[in-house]
Amino acid sequence: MVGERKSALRILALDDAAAALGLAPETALAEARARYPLLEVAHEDPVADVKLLTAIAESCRRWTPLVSCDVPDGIFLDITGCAHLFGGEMSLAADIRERLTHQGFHVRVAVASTPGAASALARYGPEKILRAGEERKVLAELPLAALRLDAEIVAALARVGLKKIGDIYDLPRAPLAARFSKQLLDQLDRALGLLEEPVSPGIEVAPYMAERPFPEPIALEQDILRVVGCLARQLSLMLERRGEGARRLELTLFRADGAVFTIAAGTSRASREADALAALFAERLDVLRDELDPGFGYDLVRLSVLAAERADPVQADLSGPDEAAELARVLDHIGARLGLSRVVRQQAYDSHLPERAARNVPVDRADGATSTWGTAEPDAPPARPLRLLTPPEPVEAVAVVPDGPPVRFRWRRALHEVTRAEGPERIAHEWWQSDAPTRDYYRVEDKDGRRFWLFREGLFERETAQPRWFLHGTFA
Amino acid sequence: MRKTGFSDAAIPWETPPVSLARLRVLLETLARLGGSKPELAPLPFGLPELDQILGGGLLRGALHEVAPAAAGDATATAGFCAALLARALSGGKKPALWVRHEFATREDGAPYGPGLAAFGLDPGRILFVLAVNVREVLEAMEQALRSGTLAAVLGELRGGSKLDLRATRRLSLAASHGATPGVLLRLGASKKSLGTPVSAATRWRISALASGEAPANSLGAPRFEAGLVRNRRGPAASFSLEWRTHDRTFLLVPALRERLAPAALDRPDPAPTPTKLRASA
Repeated sequence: MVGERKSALRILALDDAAAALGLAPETALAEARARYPLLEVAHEDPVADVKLLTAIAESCRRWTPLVSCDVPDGIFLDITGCAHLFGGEMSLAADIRERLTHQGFHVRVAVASTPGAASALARYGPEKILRAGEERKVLAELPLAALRLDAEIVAALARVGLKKIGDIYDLPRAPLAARFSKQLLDQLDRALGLLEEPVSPGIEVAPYMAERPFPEPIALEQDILRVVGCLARQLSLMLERRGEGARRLELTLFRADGAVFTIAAGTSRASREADALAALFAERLDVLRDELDPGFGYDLVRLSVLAAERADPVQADLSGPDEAAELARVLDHIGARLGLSRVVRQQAYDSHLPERAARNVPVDRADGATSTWGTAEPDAPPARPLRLLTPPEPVEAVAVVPDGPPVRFRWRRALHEVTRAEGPERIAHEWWQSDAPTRDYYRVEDKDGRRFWLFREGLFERETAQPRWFLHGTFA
Repeated sequence: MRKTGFSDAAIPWETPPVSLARLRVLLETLARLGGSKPELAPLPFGLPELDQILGGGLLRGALHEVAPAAAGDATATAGFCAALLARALSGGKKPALWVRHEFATREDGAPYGPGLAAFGLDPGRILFVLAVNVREVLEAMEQALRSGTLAAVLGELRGGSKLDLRATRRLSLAASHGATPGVLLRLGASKKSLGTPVSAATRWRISALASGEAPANSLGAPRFEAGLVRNRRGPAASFSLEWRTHDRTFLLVPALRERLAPAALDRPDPAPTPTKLRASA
């Protein structure tokens, strides 16, 4: 693999066969080609590399939720409190190595009590599991580059003869910091555990999580659903203990070959009913069937609650099934298929502008309306149209007088002869929002009895000389 | 022949003269197997003439198809459906579901809260589902109808040539399972696709009707010409209706011109002679 470094294409990485020929990273491609004209060369693609690294990191979430990428080629796993689940640090490291090697990656695994030390060991040192307190001794033998320093600092240190980490242990700190930047000492302290360095996970960590590994991968949808049902029951118990209900859930399927699928689902109100939660994923899986490729099967299934809310148990009504709960369940089902943001209510909003007077609010976010709807008045036809066109459509209209109602208009190529008209209803833009021209709205009926809501934009002679007409809605 | 869930052994075919008593037993068995539920009172229009030919009103556990008579009557048709929803809502506390189709929103505009309120339909009691394609509209309708938690389910479709007997039968079954009236608002469907049979208890063709007398050349109450082109429980007919928004009732408009219902397109036999109806003015 080659990439442009120091204004020349240079070798960045090579395989075993190329290394056996005596090539090394940093060699200019021209030089290598001169020696071996038949080299197979691929250009670097940093974006694809990051993508691949992220995918690997994603598949590493099977061991711990706290995973972060160390671009370009490392992944940190915070296994605090997780190792015993896999039979100790030793077998956890072996498991990681085995799985990733099987996926075709060249992998080096090191375990240490600080990210700095682990990274140094994985990249430069022996692959081993470092006990707490051993860092100082083991790191002393490693090159200074292992401290994740900038290349210039490493070069500057090398010029004064400092090559190994151990070389700087006993040097006075103040002159070191002054000469080689504070980064050097910070990184050293981090590696030795004198400075805290948290592993920041790229994603939010779920407050509730249940998972089940399979020695023999499962692939059938019904098996997955059965597992989801079991996991939902576990989660339901956990949620009940804390008096909470799930609002957002995520199902993560770890495929045996390292691919990871995540499926999200939401509920319109906090719920901890295992069957209802599992049913959401039945809907999602049904929709996503074509996108999920089980391949050799999934060997780990995890169900996590990403967002939970307080949910107090409700005394069931003796008079019959709880209709509100039933309704919430139906909406969740539809939401699971189409996306919960597409199940909406209309809320009134206090504005004179027709297009701002109503807004769609997803049911799971609907709160108390800020404004109320008017009611129908006796002996008055509706003043607002049943359907509103967004945006208003321009029409060609003819009016007898420039500020009068139209006598005929053409909308979508059809000519409408106006037989009745009511108006104008003058609506001005909110001055603090925009200075668009005033609108004069007319309700009109054509000779077929069809009704329209037209407006003329701009007051004649005061705001514009050529008022334009728009159709904003239609009445029943 | 339709499949039934029992074996032939239960039916005494081998005794040729089937007695009346046996037939009764057979009918009872069939009724039990069919799982027919106690029938809910239909949703009345409040007009004796109309309710009579519908057998009391719109069947609750069934699907009703409503389509504009001409392309320009889309909003009048939506208004007729909104009026049906308003009447379905007035009885109880359940909300209604309006499944919107994105294509219809672009072509005909979106249902507008203040307009619905002014029409006599409380927007606070309507839930909207925003569906992207016909398939999603039908799926959402089916789930909602089946649950029985809604007062009515309205699904609007734009185009929808794929709508066939099978799809609508699913909806009909869901409606009867949940005892919920389902209204299928078909906008922009071609004459041909409206002619294909669907499993609906009633099929309506709606056109706009000019306002009645109103002072100063202003607009009057909404009016429709509602053509009942197919009616499972009675004859086809055509009515001129006026919708009174404040008390949510229909009125029969004294007919300005007499219209006959067009013959049902989805029936091989000629439709029964349409009943001419007129308000006793």
